[in-house]
Amino acid sequence: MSLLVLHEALCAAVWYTVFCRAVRSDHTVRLDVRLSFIALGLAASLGMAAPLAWGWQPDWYTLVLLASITLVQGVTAAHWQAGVPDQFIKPECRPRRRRATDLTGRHHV
Amino acid sequence: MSTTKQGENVPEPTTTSTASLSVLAVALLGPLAGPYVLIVFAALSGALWPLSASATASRLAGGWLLLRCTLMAVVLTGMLAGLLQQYYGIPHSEALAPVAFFVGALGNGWRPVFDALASALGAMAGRLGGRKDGK
Repeated sequence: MSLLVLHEALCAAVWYTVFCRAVRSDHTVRLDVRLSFIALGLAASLGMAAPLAWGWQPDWYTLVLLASITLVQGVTAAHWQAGVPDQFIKPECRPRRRRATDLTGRHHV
Repeated sequence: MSTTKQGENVPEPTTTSTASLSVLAVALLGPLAGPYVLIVFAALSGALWPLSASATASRLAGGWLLLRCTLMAVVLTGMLAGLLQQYYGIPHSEALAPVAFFVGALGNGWRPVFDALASALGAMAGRLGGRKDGK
């Protein structure tokens, strides 16, 4: 049971990180970036639903993989503090910067 | 595998954690708990598409958008999956998740769908009216 609870919690955490990035995203974000995060969100959603819908059971390797993904998402969240990172924005939509050290100015609540 | 007195091999009982979770869900939500869980989670992941495309002011506004998309999927998915089964022979249970994902991904884009439906109905009504005039 503890494996299952851990699995659900980790899937929920991954899904929440995707949700937070989706909130900050808009149509100016590169399509491949948006699709990648949606694929991750889909995997997390199916991971939450699978034990209830199909009786699927997680194993330790799945949990380690999930925990690693959650860790990556948590660590890279710092790069989203000021909005979508510049590299993820379509080239034609990137804000102009006067100096290399300037922030993008794309602040979100 | 364990062996009975007669020497037959019977499978070992598996852990009941998932079974008990499923049973609990069915007890709380009824026999349709599984399909509805699938619809909700598929719609939630589909709704990430319109959420990532729109400029959202806050997480609360994003959550509201997800809620609207998911509720729309909960209402429409059963009917659309039934239509798919009736006209294309796709099993209802297999169509639930893809249909819910599609409905969720449609997000706020229902206006073109309703416009297309209205124009199709208008064209049909015009054709029927033309037949009546022609006779």
